[in-house]
Amino acid sequence: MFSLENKKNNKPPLIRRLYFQLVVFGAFAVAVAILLFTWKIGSEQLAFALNSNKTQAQTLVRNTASVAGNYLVTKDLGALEELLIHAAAFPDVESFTITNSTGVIFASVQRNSEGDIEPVFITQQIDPPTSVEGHVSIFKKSMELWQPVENGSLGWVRLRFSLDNAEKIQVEIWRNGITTAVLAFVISIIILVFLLKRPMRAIGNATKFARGLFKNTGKVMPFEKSAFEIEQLEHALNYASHQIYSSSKDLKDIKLALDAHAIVGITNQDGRLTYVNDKFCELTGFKKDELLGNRYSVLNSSQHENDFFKILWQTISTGNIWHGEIRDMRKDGSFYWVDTTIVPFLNKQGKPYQYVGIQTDITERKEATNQLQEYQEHLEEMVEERTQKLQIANSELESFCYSVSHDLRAPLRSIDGFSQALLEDCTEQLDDQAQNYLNRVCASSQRMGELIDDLLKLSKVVRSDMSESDVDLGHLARQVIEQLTARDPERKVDFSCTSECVVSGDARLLLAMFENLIGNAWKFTAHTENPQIRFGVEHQKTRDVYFISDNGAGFDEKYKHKMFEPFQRLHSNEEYEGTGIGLATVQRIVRRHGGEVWAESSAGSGAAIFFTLGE
Amino acid sequence: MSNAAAKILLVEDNPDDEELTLRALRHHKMADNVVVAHDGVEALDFLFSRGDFAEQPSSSLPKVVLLDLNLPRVNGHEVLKAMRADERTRNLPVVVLTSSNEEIDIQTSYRSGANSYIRKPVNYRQFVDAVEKIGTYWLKLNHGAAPES
Repeated sequence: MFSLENKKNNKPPLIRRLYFQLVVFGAFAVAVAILLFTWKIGSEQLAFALNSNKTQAQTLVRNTASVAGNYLVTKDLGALEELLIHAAAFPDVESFTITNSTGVIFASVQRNSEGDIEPVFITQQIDPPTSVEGHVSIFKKSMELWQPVENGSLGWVRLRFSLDNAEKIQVEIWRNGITTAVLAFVISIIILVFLLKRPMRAIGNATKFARGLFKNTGKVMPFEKSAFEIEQLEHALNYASHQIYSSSKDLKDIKLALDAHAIVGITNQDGRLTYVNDKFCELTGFKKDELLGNRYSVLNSSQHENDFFKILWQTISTGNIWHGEIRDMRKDGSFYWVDTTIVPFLNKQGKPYQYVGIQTDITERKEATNQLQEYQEHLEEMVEERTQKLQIANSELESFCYSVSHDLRAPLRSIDGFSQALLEDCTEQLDDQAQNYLNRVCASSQRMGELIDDLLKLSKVVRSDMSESDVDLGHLARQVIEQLTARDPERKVDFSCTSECVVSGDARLLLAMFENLIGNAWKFTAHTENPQIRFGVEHQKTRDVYFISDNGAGFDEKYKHKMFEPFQRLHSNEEYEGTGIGLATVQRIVRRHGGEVWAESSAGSGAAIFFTLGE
Repeated sequence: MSNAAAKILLVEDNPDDEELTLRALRHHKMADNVVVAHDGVEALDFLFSRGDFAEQPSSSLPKVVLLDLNLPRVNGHEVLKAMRADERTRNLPVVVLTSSNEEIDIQTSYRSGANSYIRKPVNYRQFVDAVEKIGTYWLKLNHGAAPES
């Protein structure tokens, strides 16, 4: 979901270019500096040479002019020529000319192509300067000097002085300068290549490392001795790597945890799915490639009102988190409920560029809630209905029991009564066998009377209302023992009882229960020597277990599951009389108190009945 | 039904019970002057000298009424209430003699003014014994009050 994609590229072309540029521009700068220096030296040298030539030429022309004065006066042309030939011995002289004041040439020498001075004969007139002072004109390759003799009144000396020498120096300087610049350029390149190699490699490595940071492996880059700034860069990158690793690890772990718990789906700003996790597919029944690129509305169940999604979309498209429960449809058309939180991810402008939806499947809970609600709506009705039915059943049972108690007993009384009457009134007419039969009729009708009475007692236990109060069981037990002792004063029974044992229950029912339990113990110890009856309690971890035990006849454990059924007897009536309704009554009383009852014994060694009351 | 001052009014609809009760009374020589009413209406007619008993002097009330509860037409509880509502019979001893041992019957009977409540035992010997004790107690030991008038 948080994929960080990037193209793999190990080569850093940027660094090569930078390397190249640094080296070339560095060397070029050195070369340019040298050339500038050359230019400066060259111009200074040229100026110096010009000045020196000028001074030389001026001295020469002045001296020649002062000597020429006499010969001009005398118009000794031969001497003038001689003078010029001597004066022109100076190697930079190109030509020497002497004119009169009007510019008529009296003598002139010039250097020929071999470099020798030779006289030239020029008849043409040249224009001397109009001023009376010396005059210098500088041309490209030479300079021309005019020197007046006696303020020009006698004539003029013209000297053409070559500047080739100065130019040669200039060229030499430039040649040296360029050579040096080229050399410096090459050497600079070599030096820079070596000098920049290490930092460039360090920068290259750092760049490569920085590009690899997205992999979040938490690696640190090998530390290379380099420029301080690059070392700082490496430090910073290593720190960044560590930070990115730990935060992206956190992110990954959170994603893992989220995917493990929740259904996660991401859409772009148009609502098209760009990511779904496995749980999403599992729940919806769609495959990943069936979902990606589609709108979330492929899951729309059309079970919500139009406004529902309108409000949802309004909420998230304005950058707010939406939370709610959505009913969606699976691929197979079945519905499911999801508890959903949609978080818009905002760009720098504050506009959502994707929506992350985190969901939890609450279908079961929702269905249960709906069902519960339905139940709740009908509960009252149901309760009323049941109560009514129960009331009818109860009143029917009531009247049935009433009939039993009256109408079933009346004929029994007649049977017993008239049999007795017969026995008493007609003794002479009846033989022994007839009398015996009548006695049996009486006994049976009486026994049936007892059965009916016990059955009614049992039904009373079930249908009577419970009225709870604090009851001391020990007190009840002693009360029952007192009753039994009063009825059977000749019997000596050793009774022991826990001192105080207060429980919450229906006093009347609990008394009936003790009458049965202790009555049984009393009955079954009738043939035992030193009979003992005990009432006690065992405090167990979660409950109190009460018991009534005796050392009487006991019972066969084989039949203990039958003991609590009505009319179930484990002893013959001759041995121990009874109707078999007592323990069934006990069980019903215990159950009405939310407890349970069970028996333990082995025949001949007494019995114990255990019971609990409530939780 | 003798017109001579009745000592016992037996209100009993079941002829078997009637016969057995009378036999028990006879056994103890107390069967003289027993009037039997077979339902509540008859019992009240006798007590208040109306209907079939209109000619009977109103002063000749029995010493005790043995009253069954489950009776045709007017039942035992209603008879008891009617008796206690009338000043002539308000103090007349009534022993409820019935098959029922329902708590509700016992409660209602005493609330309506019964003097005693006895459940007929199935065992006839016990029944005879009980009848003897009732007769002895109410006819011989007990002092009744004169009717309020």
